[in-house]
Amino acid sequence: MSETIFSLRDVNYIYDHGDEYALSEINLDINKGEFVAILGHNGSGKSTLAKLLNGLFIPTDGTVLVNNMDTQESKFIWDIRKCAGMVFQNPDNQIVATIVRDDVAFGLENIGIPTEEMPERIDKALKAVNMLEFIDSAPHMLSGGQKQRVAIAGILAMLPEALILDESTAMLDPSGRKEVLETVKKLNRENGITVIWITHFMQEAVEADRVLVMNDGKISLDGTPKQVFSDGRKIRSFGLDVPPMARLSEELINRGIVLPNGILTVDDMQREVLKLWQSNLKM
Amino acid sequence: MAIELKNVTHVYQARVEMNIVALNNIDLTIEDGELLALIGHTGSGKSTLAQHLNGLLKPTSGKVLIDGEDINENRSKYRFEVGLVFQYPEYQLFEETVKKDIAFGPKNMGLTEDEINQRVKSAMELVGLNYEEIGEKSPFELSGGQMRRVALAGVLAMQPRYLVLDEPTAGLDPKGRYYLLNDIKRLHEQGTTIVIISHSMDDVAWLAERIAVMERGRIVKTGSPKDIFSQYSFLSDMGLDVPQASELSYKLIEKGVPIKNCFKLEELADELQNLLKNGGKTGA
Amino acid sequence: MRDFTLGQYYPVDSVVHRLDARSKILLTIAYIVAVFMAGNLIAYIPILAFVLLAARLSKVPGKMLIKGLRPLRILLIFTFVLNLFFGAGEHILFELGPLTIRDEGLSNAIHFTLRLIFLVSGTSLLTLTTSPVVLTDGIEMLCSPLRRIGFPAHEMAMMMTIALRFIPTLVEEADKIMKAQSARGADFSSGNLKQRATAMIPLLVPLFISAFRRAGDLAMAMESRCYHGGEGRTRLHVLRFQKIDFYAFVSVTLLIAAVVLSKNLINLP
Repeated sequence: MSETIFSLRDVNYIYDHGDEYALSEINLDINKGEFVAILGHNGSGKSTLAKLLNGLFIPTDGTVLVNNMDTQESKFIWDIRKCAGMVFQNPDNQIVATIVRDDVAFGLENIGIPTEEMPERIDKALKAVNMLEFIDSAPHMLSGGQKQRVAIAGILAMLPEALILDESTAMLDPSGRKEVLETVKKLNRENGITVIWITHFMQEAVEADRVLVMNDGKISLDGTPKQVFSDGRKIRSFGLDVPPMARLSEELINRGIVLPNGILTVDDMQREVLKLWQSNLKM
Repeated sequence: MAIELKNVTHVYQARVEMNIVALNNIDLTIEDGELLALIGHTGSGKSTLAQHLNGLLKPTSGKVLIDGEDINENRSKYRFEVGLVFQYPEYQLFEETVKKDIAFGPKNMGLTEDEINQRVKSAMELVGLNYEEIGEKSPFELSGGQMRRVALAGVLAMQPRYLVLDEPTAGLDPKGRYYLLNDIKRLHEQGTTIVIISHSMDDVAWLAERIAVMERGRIVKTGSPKDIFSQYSFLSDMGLDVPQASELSYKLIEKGVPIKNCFKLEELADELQNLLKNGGKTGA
Repeated sequence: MRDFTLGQYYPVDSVVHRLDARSKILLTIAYIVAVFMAGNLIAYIPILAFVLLAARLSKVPGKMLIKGLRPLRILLIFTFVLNLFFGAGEHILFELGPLTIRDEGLSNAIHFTLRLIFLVSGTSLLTLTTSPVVLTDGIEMLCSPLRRIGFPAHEMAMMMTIALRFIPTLVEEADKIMKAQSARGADFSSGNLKQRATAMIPLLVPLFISAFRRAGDLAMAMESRCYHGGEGRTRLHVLRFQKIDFYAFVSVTLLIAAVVLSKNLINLP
């Protein structure tokens, strides 16, 4: 039973101070529980799209519905943001309080949760991101990956249905990126939270259910990772690249080796190469 | 004419009664004209090491030598020999125009106005920024990738013999990365000695001639990319990534596939082509 | 530098920690008044007793209190010496060449120095036992009656919390910027006043720009977490007056009484 959580119809967006379309003719439905990766070069409109999903931006034309609530109706805006939480790129510039516990409480205080209910929600949220032991720590002592997980906890405490992550791994080192991606994948798998994962790391998009590629304000590709990364030339024309194994696959196919479509990871390639090699040996 | 680090140790006081050994007996020679990559975990000491190369930090014990002379005893002589570009260097831009910002370094060197202009022009050319178009703009009007190149030009304008880059492609999108890596390669081909600190194994695989692996303030291994990346289990035990080509090579070799360990995709493609198309006749 | 927190909160469970933040703020104000009212040296005895008792009850190690005084070393010595040798007074007590110690000078030297010591150690007890968030909560609640005349108590408290939160981050960033500009030949330490001021531009401009950018980002993040000002907000830390607050108020009243009495009853300098 898939319900639509985000629905965009004929959305255009122009910045206040500009005259160019940052987004044009966006039509998009995202179902509950999906893990959607959004790729695009800088300026493709992916961050703008993210901010339309929680009402930070209002479309110039068209409508954005979050759980059937129109982002243009001011009476819905707080419910929309409770439903769809957002994590941003800079780990520092999201943390408001001097102690982790107090920062996770920030959202709860804003929506008027009674004091008695807060400690349990805070503990649960921090546990879900594996940061419970840091509950009394000062944020500036944490690593980038830890800070991002605290930011996620701050949103989880508000019991959202969706999590929008706007390039939230861009400023992290590889281990920080892994931490955050693993945490979010788990939340998607185990708690059914819809995830919108905006990134320019191709390898991260491989793990999604669905990949959107944005280019010059439009959605240019929409499909599974295998589908989307199968056309290397097209991807490169959008200023992006395919994951290394997909590139290798292209190269080998060009050289006459028969490989199936959709090889994206080292394990995929390993499996296929072994298959071919072993069947060669048998000949 | 190399930079040598001899027995360099750096200890600092993080808190009352808590000393941290950031560098522990480092011995490293950076040869003239080479491109060395420094890899290792966050906190392994890479940035601290970089800051010793230009004298920003002084060793608690040990020496940093350029051409055999201790740079900390001859500070004014070696001040501008090593250019250091920090992470997210665009956050240091401050002048009204791009030209003026790039001129900051040369100005501090006491050059004449003509020399400064000359240097600004050539630095901008090196990073692919158009002097006429972009020179008079405010650095804050530019895109992130452009700002970063302005920051890089600001260091290049000092025409250092050695260039140290700390995570040069951090935060850039694929296109931005591509352009910057090409700029770096070009600089190297023109003779600049380059040290790059990076977490991106793909960047390292593409650029480096030599790699030094750091852990907990020590250099635990040095070698060619071929050497270092073929040691998949050693690196992954340390929690470090390898280029995917290396990982694949390693895993296939483990299963008995007769190919060479390759860290570059093109080489691996060659190996696999030989293996699979030409009936398995390879020189393993 | 990363460890630097304004007034370093020392988290431990103690009677003083459990006092309502509002009480502690008011008590500190009353204590400061008491210190200024000390008319003679005897008055410092109840003050000392009060501080020692509070320190003991707070379970904060003595060396943390002393640490708060360390940055003042020079000021304390300066104050003492200046007043001692250049103070006024009719009776000359001691003379050595150009240096003269007069009676009022000696008394002032002792008073001002003691005053400084007690002011700093007493108020640092406030910040050692009250976390910044709770402290700003307390200030906010104390100021909230002023909302009726348009005073933005909540917004001010929010600003204070955010400022405190970002101090270590901005210090770290300033450090990074200084290093980057030094690597380009900037010199922050030499030259006359004008040169040094000019040298600060490559540090201050990026820092300010960065601070504005952070503010913009933070505002978006706060709005995304449903922040909409002070209306309808609940609190994680609830401030409630308890019996111990009553006892605390009684004790500071006794302190003030003791200080006043010592001035009027005992006639000593």
